[in-house]
Amino acid sequence: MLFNSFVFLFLFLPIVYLVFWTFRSAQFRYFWLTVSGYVFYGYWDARFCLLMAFSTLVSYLAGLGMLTFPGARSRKALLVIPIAVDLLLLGYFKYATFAMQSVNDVSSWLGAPLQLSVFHVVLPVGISFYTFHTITYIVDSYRGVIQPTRNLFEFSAYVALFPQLVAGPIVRFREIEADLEALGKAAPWRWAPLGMSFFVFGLAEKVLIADSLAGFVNDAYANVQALGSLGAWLAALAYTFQLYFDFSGYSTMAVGLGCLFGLRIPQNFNSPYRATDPADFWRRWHISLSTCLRDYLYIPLGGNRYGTMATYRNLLITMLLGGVWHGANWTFVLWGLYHGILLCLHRANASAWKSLAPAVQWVITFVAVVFGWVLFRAASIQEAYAVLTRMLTWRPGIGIEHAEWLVVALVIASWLAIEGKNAFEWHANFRMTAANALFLCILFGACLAMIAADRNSPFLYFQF
Amino acid sequence: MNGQPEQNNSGYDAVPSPPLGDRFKPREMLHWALILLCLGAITFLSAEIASRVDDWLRYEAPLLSNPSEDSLSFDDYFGRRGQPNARYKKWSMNAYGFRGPEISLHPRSNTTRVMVIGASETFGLYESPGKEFPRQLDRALNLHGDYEVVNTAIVGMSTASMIPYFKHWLARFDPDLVVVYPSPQFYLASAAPKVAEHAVQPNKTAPLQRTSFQSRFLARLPDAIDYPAFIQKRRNAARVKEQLSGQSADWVWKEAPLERVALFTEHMTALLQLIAEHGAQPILCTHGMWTAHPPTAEDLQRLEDARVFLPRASGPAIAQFELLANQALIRLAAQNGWPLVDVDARLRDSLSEPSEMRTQPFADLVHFTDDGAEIAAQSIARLVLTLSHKQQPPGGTNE
Repeated sequence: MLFNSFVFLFLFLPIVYLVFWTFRSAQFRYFWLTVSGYVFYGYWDARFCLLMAFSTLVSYLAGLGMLTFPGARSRKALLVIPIAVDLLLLGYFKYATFAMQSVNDVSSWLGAPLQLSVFHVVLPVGISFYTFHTITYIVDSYRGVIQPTRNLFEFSAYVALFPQLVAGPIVRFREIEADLEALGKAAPWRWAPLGMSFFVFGLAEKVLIADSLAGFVNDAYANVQALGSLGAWLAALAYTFQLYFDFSGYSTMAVGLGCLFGLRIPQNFNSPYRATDPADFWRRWHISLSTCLRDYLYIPLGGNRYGTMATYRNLLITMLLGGVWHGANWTFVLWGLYHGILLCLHRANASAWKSLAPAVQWVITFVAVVFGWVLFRAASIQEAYAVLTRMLTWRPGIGIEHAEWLVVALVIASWLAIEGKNAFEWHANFRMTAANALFLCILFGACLAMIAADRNSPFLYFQF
Repeated sequence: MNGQPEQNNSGYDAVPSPPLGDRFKPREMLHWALILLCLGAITFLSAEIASRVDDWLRYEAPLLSNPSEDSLSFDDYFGRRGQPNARYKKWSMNAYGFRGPEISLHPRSNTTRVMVIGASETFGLYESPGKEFPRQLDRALNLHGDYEVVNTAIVGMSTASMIPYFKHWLARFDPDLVVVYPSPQFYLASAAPKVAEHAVQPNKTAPLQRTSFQSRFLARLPDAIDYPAFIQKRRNAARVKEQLSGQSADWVWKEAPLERVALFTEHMTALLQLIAEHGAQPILCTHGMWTAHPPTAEDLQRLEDARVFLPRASGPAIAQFELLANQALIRLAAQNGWPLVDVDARLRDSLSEPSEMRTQPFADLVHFTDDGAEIAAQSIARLVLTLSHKQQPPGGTNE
């Protein structure tokens, strides 16, 4: 089910909201959030609800086990086994096809083709996200950062929380634990105006901006050979802003939905295209993922504690795995590696970088990020190479229909992404005044018109 | 990777105390109901304005016009034809009432005018604008020479209606080639299609274009609401049941009615002869349908859904009729030496591809997706290029 669909807006959400606040006890509210999460998820394919239930149960039992068996060896086993189960499931559903295909390709390239029979596994939507939720829960329980919950419904409500279920943000249990604990005492109107405002703001990001750019991007990438140099740059820039507004819009809607149910979901995007260096970019882009990668991968690998070369190695490994997490394709591997190299280069030349004017730092960072998105968007390395070649060598023409409208859309999108206030800045000191209510109604009406035009594209991050 | 992210959660911290208590008083309830009503009205107004601006930007639909689906065609003395300059949703008609770019009455010298005649499959229902198969055919042909493809299709047009349509209206546009993509399923309607013997008397009092206010936003809604499969199945079943009420059991065809196949063939023959008499080269196309022969369980469900429009034919009868009609077209082409494109076979080829390679050519039982329209366009283009001798097609495929 999509947030930007009528069935969600006018059927699912009102029913879930009204029933949720009818219940008075936390236990019933956990139960209802769990049920609604499974309905939300099962609307796409009910079979995969079982997979999520299994993953939830394994992690819950691991947490319970850590409470019951405090010995070091038991705790170690309760850390390793459930994580291995989670990763095996993720590996099978997300990477099995890719791995077999890659083995075939590499063995053919080496002249000894293995020809493994490649079977195609359907990727359950959101598996990367809820697997991350459960793994962070187990690790935090092991580290003693959180006290594992004994309440199955509280935990299943956390995993199946529909605002963040299929495309994040990756909310760690510790970030939402206090609100979950206080759910029985939460007041329906406390966060409702803020939640509605956040939701409409995110819906507008997705429907009015990202989807407007999507048509141009899809057409351009469907016919890469026709692109001129200018067209290739326009397509790359359009995707840069489409991806941002698409994913930021989803995250903002998740924040809004969380508020409606008395749960504060943290900020996931902090105007990333204002970044003036690669590390700054990762502090602003998909914050929940980058902090997870930092806390559960980079720091355990040693972080920057064991010298320069080890730091570079750790950065490369972290970003490479971050790339692989996004999808089973060599383009994502290269994209992760590319960002790892950018981080290393920036770290190695930090003092020289500081001597540059801030505007120059910003331009270099932004262009480097745009090149990265070409890898991220392309269906194959060959396609990425074709687009990058078009961008870096002169070829006359544009190759995009109605390019003048794309330029107009890009000017608006870039201003909003770089100069405009992001969702959290806009909502600082928010009050639902008459002017704000009027503005939000106008924005919501415009969004409904675009949703009704039935040109919606699914959220880009659903594929991960 | 360095340091803590600069999260800004000030929005949460700044939220004031709840504006309302947990309990409402009646006056407050009325007050809030009125406020909500006003906000709802503003939202609707915004949605309406946004729909109109969107239509204007994307399809050049005038901001203040109030078109409906009926605005795209009208009846005149020649029968049904496209409404000149009509705009409705993604569909735009040119000055002659054809979907697509403007054309002149007579083709430019050295330009091969290819006319495509058909019903909704050809007009384009589900494809993105510019992706309907006549437009894709135009692009494919113009890679090889100077061609002009005119999409003359009208939604709901049977072969019987095409005869006066071509005779009185299309013939004057001097086509060199006429591609006919017929829709045999119209011959399973409760009443058999008839060729109008005389000019039709239009209703002169009916305005050609609706002028009273009609919400463009509300008109968009039916396309955007996807019912879950089990609900849609029940809705369709109820509609079919309603249409069958009062009819005896033997009213429903369990097998394809052969007299309707013969009628379809007769009308096709008349149309193709008429086209040839006007000096144009007719090209036949077989009709694509998303069903196997014999139909699978999934196919039967789709066929059953189609009975909303064809209540008199059972699902298997619809599939069988399609098969017989296509066989009749192939025979007709062979007997008369008319070129034929087996579009149905090309679509079947794509459906039989391994799942990871497969593109979905159908949006519903008979209408194309962008990919399906491309398959149809490419297979027709190959034959047109052969016929026009402007350039040999790759491989010289004889469809």
